[in-house]
Amino acid sequence: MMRQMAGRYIPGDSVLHNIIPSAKLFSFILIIAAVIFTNTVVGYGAMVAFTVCVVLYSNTPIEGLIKSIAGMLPFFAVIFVMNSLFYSSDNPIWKFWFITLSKEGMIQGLNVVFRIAIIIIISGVLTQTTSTMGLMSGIETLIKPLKYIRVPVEEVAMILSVALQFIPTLIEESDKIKKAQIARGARFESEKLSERAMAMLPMIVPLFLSSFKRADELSMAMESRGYRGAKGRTPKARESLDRLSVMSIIACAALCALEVII
Amino acid sequence: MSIELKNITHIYEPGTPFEAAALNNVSLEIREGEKIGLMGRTGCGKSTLIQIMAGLIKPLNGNVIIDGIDIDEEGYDRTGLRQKLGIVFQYPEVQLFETTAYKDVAFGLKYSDLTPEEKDENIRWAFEITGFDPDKVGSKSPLELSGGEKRRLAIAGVLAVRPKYLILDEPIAGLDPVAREKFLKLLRDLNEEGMTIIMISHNADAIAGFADRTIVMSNGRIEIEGDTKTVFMDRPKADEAGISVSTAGRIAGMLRDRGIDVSEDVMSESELLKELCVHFNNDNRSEDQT
Repeated sequence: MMRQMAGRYIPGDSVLHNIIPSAKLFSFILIIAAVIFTNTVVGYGAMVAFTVCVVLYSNTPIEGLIKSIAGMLPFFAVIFVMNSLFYSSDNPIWKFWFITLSKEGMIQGLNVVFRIAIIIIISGVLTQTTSTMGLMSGIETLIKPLKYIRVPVEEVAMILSVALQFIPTLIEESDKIKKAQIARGARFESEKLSERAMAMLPMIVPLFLSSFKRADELSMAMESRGYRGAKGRTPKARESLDRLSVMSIIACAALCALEVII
Repeated sequence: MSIELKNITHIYEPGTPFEAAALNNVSLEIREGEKIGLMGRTGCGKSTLIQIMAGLIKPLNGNVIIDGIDIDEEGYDRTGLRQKLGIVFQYPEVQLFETTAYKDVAFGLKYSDLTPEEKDENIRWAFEITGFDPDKVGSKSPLELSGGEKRRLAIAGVLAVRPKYLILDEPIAGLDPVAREKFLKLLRDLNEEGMTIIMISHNADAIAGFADRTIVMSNGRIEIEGDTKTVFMDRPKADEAGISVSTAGRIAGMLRDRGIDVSEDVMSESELLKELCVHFNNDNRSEDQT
């Protein structure tokens, strides 16, 4: 069974679920740009307000987001301490050898932590409101311009989407094989590291074998349904920019502009 | 000595949007030496039940007591449990991983206290009972075997520890009729030697011909439980739980409709055959008298 994790797609019908994936991805990039440009108090306020709105409009369970942020706290602490102690400043509060504790350093540390936290929340919301297939079609749309420099865009998208689609299957499969081997006496629960490493073998070998078999079967199934590369394929559903999606891009672009100006 | 399940309740991923109830207050006792058939529609909780029985899933609530000891007790001998209870999953052939068939079958005995000679004897027994010649097949790679052979080899790997309890999840799915009969005979032989067998199957014929006792599950509960004949005879309840009549039972019904006197409780092929023999012998005798 898959563990509950922040960022796993939850089907729904919120405003954010309904923005077309390519527009959502583009908005996401704009927000990241905005976060990077943020460096005034007003800017922070706007960013926080925006993030709160995004979370509210997405119907994301708040506990999941809090949990994912809480899990990052040690990491945040390290970033903050590193920045506070190693920022080269002209007026340090306290200096010892190569360590300089400064106000600027502390501000810089908070800055970085804030940016990472916002990006984690926003990307969590993105993946929670967009199915993997949606993300794939979004990426495919966004990288389309690369076709002009002869990047095989459709093939790349197909490879990515096949890979992504098989992740749940593989998790299920590995879970099943693991249980079968435990029942035969394999010791994954073992304390000894050497035993545990060896014990992975009965799981990895069957997983590899079945993945190859699956890949074989999949390619045959695709060919038998007429797949012969991306040439001549038409998209399953043509996405058109609707009002909601345009508005989302405009809002994010405005936010980005605001953060750049102030 | 028995496997006892007490008030087992299990929910997958509780407290998430993916929450799914699997078992609802299930209690069950399986005595040593029984042949149990476990039936029910897809998603009724059969697989969860057997995995809890084998200690592979810890239930949210309730106790699993094997041979009088709660398996979730502190310091329970898990290695001992693995030697005592074997489980054959659906499509067990995926679990083969060793370089030779012999090594793969030996895998379960790695942590056993037996002497090397005893282990070798067990392994040879497992090969032979599943229809292999250990000297011929033992050194082959499992990948060289055919699909049916792979499945038998995987089952040999589970049998090598000579478990007291053997649980099988849909072991006959995808086997041809001859292989299926052979396999059910193997299970019967193992049971004669004292092995307790719990088999999940959708195949009414296989269950009717094999199990002493049948358990039918529906929506995470035990819906019907009793000796196989009673379960299959209770048509309204069985139909509701999606349990079809066995082929032999259906033929017996057709014969009755055409006025041939076949008793109502015919479920398996052998019973039908017996009934028909009695019937024809009686006919012959009455003809002789006239």
